[in-house]
Amino acid sequence: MKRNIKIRLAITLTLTVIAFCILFILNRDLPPTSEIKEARKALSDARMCSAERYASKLYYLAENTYDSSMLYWNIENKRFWLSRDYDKVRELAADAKNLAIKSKEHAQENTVFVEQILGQELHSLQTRIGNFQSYFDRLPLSEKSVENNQMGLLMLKEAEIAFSKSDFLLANSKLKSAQKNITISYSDAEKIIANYFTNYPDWERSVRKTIEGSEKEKACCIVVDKFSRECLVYHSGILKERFDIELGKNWIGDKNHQGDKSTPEGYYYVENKFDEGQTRYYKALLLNYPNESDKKRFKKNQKKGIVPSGTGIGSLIEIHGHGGKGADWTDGCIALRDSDMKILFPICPRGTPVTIVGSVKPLHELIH
Amino acid sequence: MKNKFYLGLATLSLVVFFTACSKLPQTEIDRANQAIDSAKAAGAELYLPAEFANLQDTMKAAMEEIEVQKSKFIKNFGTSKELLAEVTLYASEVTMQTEEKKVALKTEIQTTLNEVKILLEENKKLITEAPKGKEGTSALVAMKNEINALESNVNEINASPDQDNYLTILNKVKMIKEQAAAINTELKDIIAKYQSNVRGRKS
Repeated sequence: MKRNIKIRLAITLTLTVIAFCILFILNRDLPPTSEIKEARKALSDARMCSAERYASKLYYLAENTYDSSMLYWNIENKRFWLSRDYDKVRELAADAKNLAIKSKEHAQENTVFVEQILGQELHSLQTRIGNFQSYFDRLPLSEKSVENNQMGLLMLKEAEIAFSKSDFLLANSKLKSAQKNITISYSDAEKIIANYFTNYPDWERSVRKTIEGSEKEKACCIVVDKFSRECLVYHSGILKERFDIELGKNWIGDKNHQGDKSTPEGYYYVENKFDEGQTRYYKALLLNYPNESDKKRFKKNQKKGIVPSGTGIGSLIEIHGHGGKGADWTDGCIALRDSDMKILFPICPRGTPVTIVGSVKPLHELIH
Repeated sequence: MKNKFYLGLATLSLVVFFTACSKLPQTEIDRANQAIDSAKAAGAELYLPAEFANLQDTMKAAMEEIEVQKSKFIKNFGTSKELLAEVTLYASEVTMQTEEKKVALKTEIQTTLNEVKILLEENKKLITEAPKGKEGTSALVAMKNEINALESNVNEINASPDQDNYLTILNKVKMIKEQAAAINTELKDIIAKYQSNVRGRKS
């Protein structure tokens, strides 16, 4: 009897263990382990492609879906093991995976797009600066404009660095600030230049007349282009030399009075010549400033109250040496490099016509 | 009676056997989460993004392993515990590395700022040495403005060094240094040209 019980017990135990083993084996593949893993892997891949930044909506939707699948898994696990149903978990995991893959694809597309657009915008601003900054630097502008310009250039450099590191969002925000600052400063400058160039028809006429005179007289003449900072030397109407020049700080516009650091505009001639030892500036060609037209205008301006009281018309406007400093530094004279002055000095006798204009070229040919 | 005792003992043994390793490692989970939060608070997401993402991935894997075990009839959280311990350790390492990176960035910012200050001071001095009067004053106004703009940027950074993240600040400081160095070169060139002109005049 006792033996029978022992045998029964052993059989029961063995059957129970076997039953549990069978259930365990059956149960083993039930949880959606691989689906969840795949979803996580897809999310990780998406993050590697910066989907968080460049396809953020899709990416976060994928991440939330993954979290939901984990939550449902957790809920199912709390239920009695025989009544667990992982279909919803599987479904969510598959959705999370698909969304993550989509977010990765979108991020890759968006990155290329953003990189292209941003690259173009950066290039466009760099080109604009390349075309205009040298003019901007020469213009007599307000401190605020200069400050805006400096801030803009600084922001642009930050944008360039962020772009080179593929941090397109930061690059974009810096670029926007740079564009804003540069645009404000340049629009001030553009207004000044546009206003200045309304005189272009007069300048064109003056230059043509001077060159025709040189051709007719078979003589030398000088044309000073203030905007391009060039001294053009013609003989018999043919351009012979082209020298770089430096002017006074307030070079925009005509000279109004003494000490305004402006270079006069109009028809002049070489009144006197000073060789080495006779001038502080290596060699100098003294112009006949003020001419009759300057005197008339000065009187008019005096009446209008434009000229400060007690201020004279100014004098001693020269084409002289000691240039090449890379900045506008004179009181209104035209400074050439000593080496250029050495060439110019002997070919310009007293009486050589000197026509000073804002520009020999129209604005659209200079600034695009 | 004796049979009943044996049957009870056998059932108890089975229950003990099946539930022996089934305790959820909640302490380890909390510890790992805390370590991740510390890493995040230190700024790991910003300063060590790859490491932080890896850390989050490892935590997710650990949580998945826990659910896998919870799904099983016979639970064994041994691997989960190991993974969680790994996460906790890795998170502390990431926190430490983040702090180290922040210190390194701060030092680099400070060093660059000092270099910028020296450059700006030198630039100011060079401006006073540059050709004065007719030759100099007007030409140097633009540069002075530039130096002032750079200086106000430096002051802004000094006034609130923790306002932005250190990476952004470092980039900004590097930019300022580049511009200050450009002005420095320009000023030195102007002075050199002027001096060579003076020497030319004397000879």
